[in-house]
Amino acid sequence: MEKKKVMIIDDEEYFLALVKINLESTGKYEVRTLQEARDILSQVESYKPDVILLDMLMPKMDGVQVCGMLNDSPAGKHIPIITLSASDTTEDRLKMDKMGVVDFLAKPIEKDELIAKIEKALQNR
Amino acid sequence: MNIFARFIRREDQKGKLRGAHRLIATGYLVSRVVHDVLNNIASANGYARLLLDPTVTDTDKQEMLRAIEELHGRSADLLRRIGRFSLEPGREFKPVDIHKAIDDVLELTNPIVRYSKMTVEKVFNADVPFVMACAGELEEVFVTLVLNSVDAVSTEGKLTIRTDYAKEDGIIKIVFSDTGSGISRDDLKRLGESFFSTKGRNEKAGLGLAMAYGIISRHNGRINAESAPGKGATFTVSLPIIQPDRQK
Repeated sequence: MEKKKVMIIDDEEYFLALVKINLESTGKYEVRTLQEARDILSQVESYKPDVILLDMLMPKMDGVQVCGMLNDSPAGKHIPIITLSASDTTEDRLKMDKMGVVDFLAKPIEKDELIAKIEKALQNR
Repeated sequence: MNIFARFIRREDQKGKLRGAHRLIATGYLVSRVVHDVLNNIASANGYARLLLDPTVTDTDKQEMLRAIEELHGRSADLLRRIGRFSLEPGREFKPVDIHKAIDDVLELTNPIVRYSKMTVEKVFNADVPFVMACAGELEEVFVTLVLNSVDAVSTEGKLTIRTDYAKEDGIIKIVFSDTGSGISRDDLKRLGESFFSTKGRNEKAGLGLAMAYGIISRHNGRINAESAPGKGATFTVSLPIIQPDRQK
């Protein structure tokens, strides 16, 4: 079975490594990690991820800005985005709903929940 | 009320305002520190769970233990800094390494600066000597100036912190210069007044600069502000390296 491509954007290097280990250990996913979102569009164009996991609070460019860029780009607008955040407020969720985000995950993340949300996003694609 | 009682009351009110400002600044910093610490705990927890996985190799386990140690160290450092800042500083004057004090403040404010649009450049003059000062109070002044710059720089911008030493005058200068929105001439005249804020009534209490002016004045120094709308702002803190009335 062909592995699904997951792209994770988060400024925390240890968190990136952790999610990558957890997802790749299932044998179902290939993971690319990005510590900053500056060149997100070229990364998306070259990697062609099936799903994107996006941290909401990042230096210089936050999750809302990244969502906006992806929604405006031909390569990014059809890719499901799941947002990650240490602060999970109704306000954040409403903001993300408006940006067309398919799902949310509050940190700390449970591996099973993460995989379930990725699978759901892939099925609805 | 006699003059002495009025003086005591005024000093008491000043003390309360200083305490209020420190609490507000601490609260502002705490929200971001909590975010960073939660992230660290979440990652450390994830690695701890992986350690229980029998398929993980010993080499990978070593790496994971190192990651947990690093995440723990970062969190402890963040909490130690915010804890120390939240306490009312002693009033004791001691030799202070200004460059170290600025570096400490940049570490303390890093959880906020990192997520802002502002980068920080340090231009330190190696000739700047130690200065007799209350380190905790100076830290409070520098935190105020850094956070004010973060608020002023809403699009990509920079804060430059420059130090200098005029040996003939025995004065050191710490210059905070940002490329932010700047301050109007009318507002510039009112800086340093308690409860005056250029950021709107609901955003800030307007105590930071009032407190900073008071602290630097007690150090026999001064703060000079220069700015114009759209042209950024420069705050120059001048401090004598010795405090004549405190050296005896």
